[in-house]
Amino acid sequence: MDLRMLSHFSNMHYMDRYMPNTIKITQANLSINTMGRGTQDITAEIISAVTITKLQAGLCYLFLQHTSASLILCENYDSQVRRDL
Amino acid sequence: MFKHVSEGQDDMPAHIRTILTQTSLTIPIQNGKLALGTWQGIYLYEHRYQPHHRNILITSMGY
Repeated sequence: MDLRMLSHFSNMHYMDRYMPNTIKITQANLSINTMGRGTQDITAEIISAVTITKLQAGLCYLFLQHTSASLILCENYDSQVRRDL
Repeated sequence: MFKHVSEGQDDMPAHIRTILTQTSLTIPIQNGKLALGTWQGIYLYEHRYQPHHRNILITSMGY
């Protein structure tokens, strides 16, 4: 898996100090090689992409640019859930 | 069952599975963290039989 930030705030300190609560938008690209049919846990990669932004409140919008795979939220305790899927 | 078989027998079922699920998710950010529930994980769900390269665009908005 390859996470690449596409944008970052070079003036984050300035913005946080003089323009607090300004809405910021940042984008990152996550490339994944899948192993065929089944699920792959990407929670840690998404969390790190959001942590890098240092945003305190907002939304994270994930968009998969494909037509034969999906993004799902699923139980992460019992892996049998995903095998049953 | 399907007429669209030029890309393999698994292709049309994969399109249907994708349409019945979704290709995007919106998760709130709260106190600097993704507001996932205790047992929620984010998964990429591949529907084709062969390995594929998949791309996810992550757009974070907020302050």
